[in-house]
Amino acid sequence: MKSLRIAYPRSLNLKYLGKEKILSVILVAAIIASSTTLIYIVVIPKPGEVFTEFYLLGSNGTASEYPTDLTVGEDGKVIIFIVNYEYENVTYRLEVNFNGSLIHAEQVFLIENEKWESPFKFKATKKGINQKLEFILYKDHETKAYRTLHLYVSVI
Amino acid sequence: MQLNSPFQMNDWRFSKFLKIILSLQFAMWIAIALDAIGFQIPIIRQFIGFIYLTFIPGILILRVLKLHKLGNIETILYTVGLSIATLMFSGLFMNIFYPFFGISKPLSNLSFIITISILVLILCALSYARDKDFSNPTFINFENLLSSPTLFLLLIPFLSVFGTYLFNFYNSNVLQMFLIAIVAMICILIGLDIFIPKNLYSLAIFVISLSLLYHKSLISMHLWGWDIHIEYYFSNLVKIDSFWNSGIPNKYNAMLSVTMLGPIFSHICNLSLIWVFKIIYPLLFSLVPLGLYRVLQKETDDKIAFLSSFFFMAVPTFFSDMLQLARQQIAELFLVLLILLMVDKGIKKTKLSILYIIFGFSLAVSHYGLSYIYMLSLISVYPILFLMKNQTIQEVKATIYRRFSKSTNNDLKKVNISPGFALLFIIFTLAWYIYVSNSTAFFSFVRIADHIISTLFAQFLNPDAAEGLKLILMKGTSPLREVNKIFYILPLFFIVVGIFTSSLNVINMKFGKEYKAFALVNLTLCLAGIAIPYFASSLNTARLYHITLFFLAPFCVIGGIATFNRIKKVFGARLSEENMKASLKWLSVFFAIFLLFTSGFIYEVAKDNPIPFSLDKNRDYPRFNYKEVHAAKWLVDVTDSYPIYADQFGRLVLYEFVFLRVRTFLSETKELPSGAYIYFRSSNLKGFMVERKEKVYLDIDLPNSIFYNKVIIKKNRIYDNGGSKIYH
Repeated sequence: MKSLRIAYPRSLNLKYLGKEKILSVILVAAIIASSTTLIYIVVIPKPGEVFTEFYLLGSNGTASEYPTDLTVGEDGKVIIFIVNYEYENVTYRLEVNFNGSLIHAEQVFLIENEKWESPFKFKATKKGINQKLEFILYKDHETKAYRTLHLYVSVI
Repeated sequence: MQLNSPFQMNDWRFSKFLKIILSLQFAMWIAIALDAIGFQIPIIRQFIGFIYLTFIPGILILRVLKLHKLGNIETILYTVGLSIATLMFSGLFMNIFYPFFGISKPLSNLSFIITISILVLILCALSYARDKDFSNPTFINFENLLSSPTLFLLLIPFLSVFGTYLFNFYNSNVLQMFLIAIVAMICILIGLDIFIPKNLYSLAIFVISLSLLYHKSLISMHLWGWDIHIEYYFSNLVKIDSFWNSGIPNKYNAMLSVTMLGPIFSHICNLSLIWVFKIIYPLLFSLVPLGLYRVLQKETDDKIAFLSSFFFMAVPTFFSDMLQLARQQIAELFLVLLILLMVDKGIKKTKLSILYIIFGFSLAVSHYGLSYIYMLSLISVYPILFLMKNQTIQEVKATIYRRFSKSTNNDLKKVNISPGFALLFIIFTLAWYIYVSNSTAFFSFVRIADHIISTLFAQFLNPDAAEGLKLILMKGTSPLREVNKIFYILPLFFIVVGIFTSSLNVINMKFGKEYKAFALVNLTLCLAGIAIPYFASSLNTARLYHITLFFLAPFCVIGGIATFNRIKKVFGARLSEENMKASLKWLSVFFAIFLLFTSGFIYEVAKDNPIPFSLDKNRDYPRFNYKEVHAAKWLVDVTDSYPIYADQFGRLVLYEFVFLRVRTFLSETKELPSGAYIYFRSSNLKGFMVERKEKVYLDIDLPNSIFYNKVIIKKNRIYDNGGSKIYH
């Protein structure tokens, strides 16, 4: 079998190049490689930080009019939001405690970038100031709370 | 192989020139049309848009003015300056006049595209009418472009971009450190006349400037620093409303460099304002040292010009503070253009006056602080120039020159800067600051002047009031910081020596009268910053020093040469050409080490905290992560008019979105108004907050503060994303 010979153009044959030209060729290659890499990191940016957003809005849909002053027997209403920016599907467990007692629990499955919102109602059963209404979010069967929110409710 | 120089297209044959301009115009339209139909090609629109906005209007105006054979650097700088001025004043024109024709959103995307296109076509017609016959292109040698020093220099900005990428996403500062070392090495290579030839000094300056700026500006995926968040707010307000409300009583709002330029680049390049501030502004600002180099090349020589410009860049205000002052970045571009005009003796008087007016007015609408300093300099320069002409003073000077120098007086260059321009600049500047944004920029000047005058005698040279003196007398926190202080004080000493030796003509330079007069005024400003109460702190001492370096930087090099020579003289050496060269070599090493200090390189190697935030990701600094920015945006979307409280650093990110509602909580705050929101950033969640006491930022233990135990403990927590929490 004949050996394969590649005929390099004279200008690319290292024997004919001085040190200066070799350096230039290397530097040109480095600039081309750098430009390509630069275009790559601009066109395909690295994903940002991963996180979950957990928040409460008042019944009017804004961050006001939270049910913090109630009378005994009155219903308090808030809207709970969870937004998944984890760049993966996540199963969350939501628990709501009122004065240390669990009053609500549910599982929420969210795909990447999905937003979940749910109106939540609770009843003020006994008098007292600054009763803690706590919203705890757990992620993927973890036992440590992932996000926590709370409202202090005064009931007269 | 030779090519027509793309930097001097104003000298090309008109038909060839027009083809390029119209091709770019069509390319711009096509890129916009493709975006509009949803076919987006990444980078293309941003690239074409930047070239289109930054060069086309300016190069066309150069042809209309029949300005030719200016040289590469001058042509680039005048082109960019004229383009930026055109964009700012076109925006202003649209904002004032379009509403009369029923256009309620004069600064919309479509409005900008149509107006700038029409403007380009009108300028094409005008330049054809005035300059169609000129053809005398300058050529660049293709082989020079492929020489190893050129290619080596061109690689450095990439290092800067990749360095910040590695730092942002992989928490490694290796490339950042490498970049600083390379930049310091370039200074030494040039000082020792190795590898980089004289004709590449200007490229080296531009590359160093851009790399130093990007190695900080590209840190974080969001804006960092102080003022830039407010600049973003006003720029974004114009972008959202498609209208500039000149009546908003805020001095930032009076600056077209922020309210017009940002939205125009953002619209035409389809680039978010964040990246306009992080990429485009520093790119424009990187031309400032290049302009300074050209000025000093004319006034001194290549090597001194290089070292002076390098020193100007190595002072950290250039690559740190300035990056958070978008409006001053643009203003400094116009300042360097005005200085360039001052030393440019080849332009005819009428054209020179036109350029002076354009750049002067552009400076006035770009930054109030710099404009006031320039105004003050102009007022002070004329008496000095008058004294220089005085017969008695001339005779005294001649006697001194005969005593100290072999050469004769060389102030024979004609004076370029006319009293008419000075008067026009002062009137325009004051009128603009009085009539726009409810005179806020004017009143702040009056307030500062009043404060300085009222405390001048009572607190003269009092370190508590004179910030510059306080900084000099401040004790370093470690032995290395003490060494660093010497590296800061020595250039000041060199500057004074440099001015003195130049005045005596011991070292013969080509400085013109105006340059010397401006240098004297700036030396006075620099010394006033040290001695006069509240003078430097009104602007910030570091910023004042940086501004004075536009005129004082070459004297640092000259003073350095004189000092080294004096030391050698003690050992019997004589002032000769050889000794001058040797001094320059030592100075290049001095400036390289100076950069290693100012950039934080040495502190990082020695692990001497605090290390600059660009090399240390754990240092608390006003830079913000995704979660913090996300929480700030959430507050805008779902809250009403109640105030929002944050700590000294946290308030800055909120400024971008809800500037007028932001307040600062202190560690001793016991109560907040009802309905107020409290914003916690990541550092607050880790247990500390930042508070400013006597101009120093202090870390305070948050959980043990009065604020936490009296206020936070009772508040409802309504938002949590892991990196930020909001209380109500």
